Amino acid sequence: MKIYQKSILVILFGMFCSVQANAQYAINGKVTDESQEVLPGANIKVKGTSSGTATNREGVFQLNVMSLSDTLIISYLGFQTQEIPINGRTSINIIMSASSIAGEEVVVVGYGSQRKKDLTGAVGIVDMEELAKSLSTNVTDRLQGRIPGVTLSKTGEPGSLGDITIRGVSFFGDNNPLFVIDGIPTEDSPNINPTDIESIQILKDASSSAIYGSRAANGVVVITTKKGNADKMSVSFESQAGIQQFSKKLGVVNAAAFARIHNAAYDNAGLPRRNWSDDLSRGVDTDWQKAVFDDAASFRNNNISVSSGSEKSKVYLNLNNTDQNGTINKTRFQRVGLRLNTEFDLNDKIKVGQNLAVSKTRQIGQQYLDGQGVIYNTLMMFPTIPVYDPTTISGYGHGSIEDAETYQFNPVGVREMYNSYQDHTKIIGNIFTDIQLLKNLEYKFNFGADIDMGAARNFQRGGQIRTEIPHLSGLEENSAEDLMLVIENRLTYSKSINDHQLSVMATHTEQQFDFKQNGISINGGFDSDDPFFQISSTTASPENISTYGNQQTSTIRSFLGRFTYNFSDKYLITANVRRDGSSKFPEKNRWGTFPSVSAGWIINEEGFFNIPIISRLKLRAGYGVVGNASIGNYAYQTLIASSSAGGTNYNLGYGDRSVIGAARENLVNDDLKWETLKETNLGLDLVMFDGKFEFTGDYYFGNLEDLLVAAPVPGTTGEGIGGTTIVNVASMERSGWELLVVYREIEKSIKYDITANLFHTENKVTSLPLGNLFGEYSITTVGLPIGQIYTLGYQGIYKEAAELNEYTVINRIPYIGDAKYQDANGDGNISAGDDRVIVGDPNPDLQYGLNLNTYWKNFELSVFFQGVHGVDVFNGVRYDMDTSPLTTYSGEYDPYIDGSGTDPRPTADFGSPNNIASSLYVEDGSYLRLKNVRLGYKVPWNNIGELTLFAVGQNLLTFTGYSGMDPEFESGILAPGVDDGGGFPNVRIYNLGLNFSF
Amino acid sequence: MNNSIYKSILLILVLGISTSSCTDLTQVNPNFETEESFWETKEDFYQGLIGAYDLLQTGDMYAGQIQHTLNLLSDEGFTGQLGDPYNLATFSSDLNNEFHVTLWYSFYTLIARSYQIIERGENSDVSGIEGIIGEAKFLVALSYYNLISAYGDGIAFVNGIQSASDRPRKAEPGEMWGFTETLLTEAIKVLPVAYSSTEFGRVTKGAAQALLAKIHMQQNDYSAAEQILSELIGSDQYKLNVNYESNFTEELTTGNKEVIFQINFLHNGPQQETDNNWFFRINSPGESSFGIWSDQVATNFALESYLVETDKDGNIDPRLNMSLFSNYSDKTLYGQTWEWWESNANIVSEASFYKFNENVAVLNELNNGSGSVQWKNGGKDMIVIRYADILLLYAEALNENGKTPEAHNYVNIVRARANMNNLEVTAGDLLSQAEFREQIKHERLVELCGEFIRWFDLKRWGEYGPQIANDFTVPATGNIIARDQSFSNFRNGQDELFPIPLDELDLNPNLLPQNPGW
Repeated sequence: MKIYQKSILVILFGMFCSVQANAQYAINGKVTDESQEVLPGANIKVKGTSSGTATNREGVFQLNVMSLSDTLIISYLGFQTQEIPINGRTSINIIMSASSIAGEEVVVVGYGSQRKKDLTGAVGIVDMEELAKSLSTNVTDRLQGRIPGVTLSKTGEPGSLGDITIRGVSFFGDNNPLFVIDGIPTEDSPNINPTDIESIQILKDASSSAIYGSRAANGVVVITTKKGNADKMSVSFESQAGIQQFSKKLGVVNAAAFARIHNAAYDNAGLPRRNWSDDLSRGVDTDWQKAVFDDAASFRNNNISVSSGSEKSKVYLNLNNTDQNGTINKTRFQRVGLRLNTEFDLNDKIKVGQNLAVSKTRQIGQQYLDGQGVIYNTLMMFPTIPVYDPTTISGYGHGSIEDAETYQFNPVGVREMYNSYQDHTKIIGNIFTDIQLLKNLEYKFNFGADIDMGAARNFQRGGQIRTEIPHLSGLEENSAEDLMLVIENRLTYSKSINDHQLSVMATHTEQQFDFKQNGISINGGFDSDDPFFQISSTTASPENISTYGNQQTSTIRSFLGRFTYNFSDKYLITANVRRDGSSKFPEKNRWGTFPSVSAGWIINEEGFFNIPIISRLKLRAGYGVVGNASIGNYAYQTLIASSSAGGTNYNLGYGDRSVIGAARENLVNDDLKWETLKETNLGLDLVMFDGKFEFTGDYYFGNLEDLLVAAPVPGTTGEGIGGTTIVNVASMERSGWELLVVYREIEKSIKYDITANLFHTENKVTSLPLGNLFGEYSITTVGLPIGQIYTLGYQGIYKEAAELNEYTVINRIPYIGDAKYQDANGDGNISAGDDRVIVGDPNPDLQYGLNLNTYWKNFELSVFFQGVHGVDVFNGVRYDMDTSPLTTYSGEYDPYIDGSGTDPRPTADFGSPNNIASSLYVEDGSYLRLKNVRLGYKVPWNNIGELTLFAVGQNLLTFTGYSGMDPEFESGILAPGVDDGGGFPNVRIYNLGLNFSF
Repeated sequence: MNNSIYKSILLILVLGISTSSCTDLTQVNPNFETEESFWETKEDFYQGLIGAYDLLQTGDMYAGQIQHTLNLLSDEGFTGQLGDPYNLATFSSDLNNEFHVTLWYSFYTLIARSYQIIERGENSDVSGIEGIIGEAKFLVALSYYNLISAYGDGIAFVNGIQSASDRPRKAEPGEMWGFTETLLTEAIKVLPVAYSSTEFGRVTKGAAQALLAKIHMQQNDYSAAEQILSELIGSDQYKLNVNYESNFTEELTTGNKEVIFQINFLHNGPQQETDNNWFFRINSPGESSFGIWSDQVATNFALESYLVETDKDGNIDPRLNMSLFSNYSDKTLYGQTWEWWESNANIVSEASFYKFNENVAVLNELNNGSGSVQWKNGGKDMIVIRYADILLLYAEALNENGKTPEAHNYVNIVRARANMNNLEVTAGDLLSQAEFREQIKHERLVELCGEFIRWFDLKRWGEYGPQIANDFTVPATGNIIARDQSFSNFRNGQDELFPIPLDELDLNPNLLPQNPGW
């Protein structure tokens, strides 16, 4: 307890800025780099105390210490932090060496760790210092552009978790990697506080991820949280606040321009004009984006951490509070989180510890009504409709169909009348013990749990928010509980004999997932003037109240092992094997075996190698087989659904009685089995010029087999419109390359480092025996990557009478100004179905990230760019706008009216060929985005602690030709290139913050 | 290493091993019964049958979509709504019109659920399920009757349970009609003539006979139709209600003897089992501010047809008041009179359909009476085959088989119930075969208007085409009525049939070629 008492005292003294220690010995010294350049502003601290100083312009420091047996800690950006015992000296010269080139760092690779230089697979090591500069509230969003081969699909919705894809989309069901947090495998993007993370390793290729066997085919993200410092107590406080806004407003027409097109559309269809377009005298010209978007949504994030320990115990404690308002009013994300990690050495053989994080979040997302989000409604609403109209029931309705026929919801009305939020209480933690059984044999026991208790509520006042139709009040509540337990027993044997080092690891692990939920939905029955939304307070009649509940369990049992061999630090071999059994598969296909092997050759260690500028040259090669199961629980079991209350019931008898029936719930395939990836990875690591230049390159190729496809089935199977069933039928090839280049200049007074990554990933479908797969405006077909954009080919508009007889378009003779399409099958008639062609590839040619850090005195500037090149996007928002009389029009639209205009004539005739999806809406979605800029200033405030002030901007600039709101958007697997406007665009953030530690 | 360390290691190892294998890799879905344990008892088959009937009351079928589609396609229905409904009604649909799609998927789903019963039942040793299998066969035949009419006889030939990889072949011309005849002939042998009062609503022998007769009629096989209709009429199971309106106004607690087959909705049950609250609010002469639309309205031709002849007492044909909501109505629609509708709604048609309308709307919580309504979950049953329809079909068959004088008798039974003079009285003499053929078109309209039968009639009479836009002469009275002008857009060689849904063709190229013109 002594150390804690001392620590508390230090904190108290620190807080009152009155350090009472009597300095007794004065020491001085000089700090230089390896080439004798002085390092001004290097930090010198006395270990275990709060006293310290920094070097002056000549790299010289002076410091008073309590004892000449203390230890100094010297740190400087871009260099490895050193601990140097004073050993009685009063003058000490210190030479710093550049960081990150040593290769001695130990990285966690799953069920053990390896030295970075011993790695033989493709493992992405995340630079946590760079990641900490991002403002995203979750760790997945922060990874974008940082690691070659890792892409993100994310939105600006507060609290949303971006989806990571490693080495591209490879499966039709699930492309989320496995996340392993302190040894606990979790399925979803982790909602943990990024500040708590010590390191992230990304196992990209099959040879390194195979240790996770059946869940590794999408790669594995290994996250390790922070431990306490072994020998000093530190408290750090970080606070930041800022504002956010959408980086772009979509160009839409104003009321006058809208009316011109809208009237022409009804004239062209031979239908009466709509009143509010025909007559603009009311003077309404609503800018819906202005009414709904918030240009200064606030953002706050605070962390306070305490890290402490001794040689035998380590404690890390963090308290986090995040509060992010969304850039559309009323959306919000709040998180309060606590983490406690401890580790104790009971004696020199036994270590025990635990990690525990508890968090409570509330997310108020974008409202969706009838599948349409508020943002979509905002973009689509007519400018001729007023935001508020006191003549309608609750003020947010809009006229009759004759006034303005639209089925959009008034987005301001949605905001005012609808409420919803999702609460989650999450507990993730584990306890573990490491026991040195014998000299070379270690046993580890790990027991972990991941618990998520969710509660969601949606409720609304009764009223009107659309044309003509009112809505009732209502309440929906849902509570759900996810419980995952994991147990792991691991034995590791390692041995060195002369130049031979080998290790063998064997593990048994089991995991169980339980899920249950229940909910209630009440339609009507709440007083709209004085809303009091509790289940018990409704006056709705029983038939307007429905309830549901269900539960699921799944299990995995695994046996796995690893063998590593290192000869003389020149030749490296790693072999893994894992055998997984899963309850998701029928008994005959339940078990899968996933082996891998990889090797490395460190050429610079060879006697014959003699190129002085090259300090490391390593070749790597690996091959592995890994699995995936993108199916739900019980997917092989055919269910017979039977329930009352609107289920499969029918009514019989003179007096009407409801008779409970039963029907097959799903069309299943009882022969489901594991999907597999067989991949080869070749890599090269190069370090030159004493660590100034680093290069890592990887090339991979492989096959995905037995892919599970939610294959569409014909209506004749009885599955209805859009019916599917899951089968292991497809196969695919995937290949790609990844480059990472780092250059550091550390010898000048302005120091900088540049990190660039560039990668390309591609997949090609090689077999789809049940036929092509179709997504929105997209096709997946053999010989091409997933999700090609598939529409009619647009060829401009008909301009001359002579052209009009060339084709009929869906059996109609076109008029001047109508869209002209490619007659792909050459039958003289354009058909909306048969004449579709591939008009775009949504898979980027190149993706890249570029990070630049410069250091000058106490200033640090980081600039981070991220981009993709060579990607096609179907702009679904523009298509929806410019082809329907029920929505407003985009600012880009230049329709042919009265003899002028270059786009197809507007028409209110829904069957008009002009309203068919075509290549007219395909755009180049390439972009280069200034993702993050951070300027930091370290306040020279030496004796008390360390204070850094910083300003950060996120998504400040975007260079793109894409006309939609955001070239980064979330999309479906089978329609990756379709921006349907349903999402929440990424936001621009301006932030100020400080970080104080002592 | 001391003893206590060994002990603790031992303890942990024991703990580790004892907590192993705590998971069971066999997990059975706890939320539902699985197929392995089903289809083993008569009760299972009965439940499966109820599951098939269940589809009939869905929104994609008889809770609205079928009625909506068939009305728009006929000369008695039109729409006030732009978009897919308007394009369908004016024969300007494109391939993607949603109405082309729904019937295909709905009826093939009903076929699939029915074959679960038929195929498993015929391969099962559970006793006492012959009738249940017969009912399922009727449902298959009913589905094909609709599918052939909409998509032609080159549809997918399904005669068993389909697996995910099955791609059924395209039926040969005429094959599907023959197949439905076989199914119904088998069903007629095993179906009961009636059920107990608590099971009323299930398929009877009479329903199968009626459908078989309709199938013969659609193929213009009048002699086969005459024979089976004669058996059905002779069975004495059915009779006309004394009051025409009672078919549509009240839920008959003792069973409606005029009903041969109907869809039973549940009175004030959950929405999924009543559903009229949604689909029948589309029946209004115009849009109103309280959320009622003119998605399906009646044509002037339908209205005018009622006005050609008065009843025995010189009054307007009493069937008009029940069939159409119009200026001649003494009824209210959603509590409002025709006058109210004329002044408060944007009237797009002189009449809207009235039969089967739920017509029940309660004032809602929002404004307590200022116009907005909350829809009550009604539950009015939807009659698919009615005895009056059978009598008229029999008359038609007799006339075609050269028995025109006898045919008059059956028309007169139907007319008499509506207080109309006998046909020969109105006409002054018996009609000739050709006149009778035209007259029956009129008789069926005024008796069955708004019952979603007209489109089948137009197809049977071979007149489904642009000629329907021509004036119609009622032989018995000599009146000339302007007919549905939207048929002037009818695209010969295309609009006779719906296109097979594009997605279905993509998945099952066996169904190529697409229907003509699409």
